[in-house]
Amino acid sequence: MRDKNGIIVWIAREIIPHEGAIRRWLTRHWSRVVDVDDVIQEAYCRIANLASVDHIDNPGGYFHRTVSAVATDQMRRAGIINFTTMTQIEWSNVIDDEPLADRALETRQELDRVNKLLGSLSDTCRKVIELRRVEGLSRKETAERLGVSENDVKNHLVRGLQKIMGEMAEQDARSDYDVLMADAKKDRAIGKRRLH
Amino acid sequence: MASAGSISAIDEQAAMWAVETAHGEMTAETKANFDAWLAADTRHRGAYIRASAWLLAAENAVVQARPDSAAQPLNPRASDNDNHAITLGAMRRYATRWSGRAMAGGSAVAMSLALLIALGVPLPGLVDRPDTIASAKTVALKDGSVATLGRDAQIQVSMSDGIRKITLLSGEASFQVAKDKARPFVVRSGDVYAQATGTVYSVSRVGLTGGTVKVREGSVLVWPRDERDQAVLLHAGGTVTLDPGPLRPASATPKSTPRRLPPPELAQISLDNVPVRLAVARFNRVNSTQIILADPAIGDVEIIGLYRANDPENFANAVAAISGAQVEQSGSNIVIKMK
Repeated sequence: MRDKNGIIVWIAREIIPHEGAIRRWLTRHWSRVVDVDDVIQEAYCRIANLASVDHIDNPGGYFHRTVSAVATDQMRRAGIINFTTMTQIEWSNVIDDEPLADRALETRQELDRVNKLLGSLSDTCRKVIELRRVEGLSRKETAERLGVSENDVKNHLVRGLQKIMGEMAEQDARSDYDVLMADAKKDRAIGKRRLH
Repeated sequence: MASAGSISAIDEQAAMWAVETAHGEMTAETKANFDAWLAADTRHRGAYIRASAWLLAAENAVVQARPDSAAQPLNPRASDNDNHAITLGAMRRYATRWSGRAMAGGSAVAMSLALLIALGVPLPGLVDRPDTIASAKTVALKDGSVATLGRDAQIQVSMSDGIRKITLLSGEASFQVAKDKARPFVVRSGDVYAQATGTVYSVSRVGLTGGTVKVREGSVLVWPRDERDQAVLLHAGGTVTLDPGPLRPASATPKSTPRRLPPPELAQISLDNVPVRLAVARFNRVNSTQIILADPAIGDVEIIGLYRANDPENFANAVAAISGAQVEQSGSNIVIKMK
């Protein structure tokens, strides 16, 4: 019982802080051939199915490899060409090749980013979380304390969570905009050459 | 590009279920709905796990942001938005402490996770990647379309003025179709046909007569045999597998007998994100028992699953379950209507 709960706790602590970086990497390199959301979701699924996470001493690198494996499987299923060459280049760029100091810095930056996202939760949403997690109130008691319906309590949490997940995706989309524009220009240039 | 701050429908539902399982006191009915949602799409499990982890991370940060995270009377602070920066070490300490605590919300997560594991998602090897795609190749077709052949894939191409015909003899192939509205692009896999004008999609063989069609961009019409009037329109992201089953003893030559529907008991209908109204049309075509949708809104709900074509009742029950409707017998017909 504790172990299975433990995996979500572990994911929240060790994997969530890396999602932004992994998502940006995936969007930048693979968004045209795989569905980024699908790949990330399946990677979470695979990690949650692990019998043990004790052997993972670099969760960010592990998450990166899992995402790569999922993306590879999807591309193989879709019959994408040339992916052997593409992946060889990509695989040489995995997170766990980086020096430990850089990795720690990156983790801290990602955590700051996650915390900024969490700052966008509404006051009510924060109160709901505090009442439940700190005071251990039930949903009913939380609702009574705040003078709202039980459904409102739930909706505040759901909306807060959706907002965080949405802002996450938005940030990643924005930071990839320039890269996409550069790629589009390159495509046009190649197209011109082909006309000869 | 997705509009600012929007998330997919799956993520929206996943967030709802993450809150429900962690913070709700689930009734048997809610639990059944949750199970049905998890089973409805393989992507739902991963989305749910991700949302649960984000929820927990959010909670950890909120609790950690308090000046003293030990239990104390609630003291709402109006402007604490810049006061919740936490360090990695603090988050670690907090999460460890929390994981040892038995909380109602926590055990709900544990319970649903146990369920996920019982459902048994296969765990493919994360390390070994055999280079099977090395044999994949691209073929430029005369009309400007590009076919990408998977391993063991073989295709036959026949281009004429009115139609572009591709026959997938084996394996899986994806197609980037050049736009040409005057000449439909039709891929045949066994007895399953997929037609597009300009789009990207892949087709793979299923058994002797079937095929799986996956659409990456645009939309594709898919139908078995001569049932083009009952075709399913698939949009980007959609997948459908149809296997109409054998028409006749395998020794018969294709041209010796007229084409007809397989006996209903041989056919299975596999639906992936297909609107109920199209699915109902397919069932009604092969069964004397007709399914009637009393409320058009039910027809817009998308359904997923593998159903026996001769068991409309089973299918109707599934429709009712996902759309929150109910099933009623009316003579020999089945009526699905809102509760």
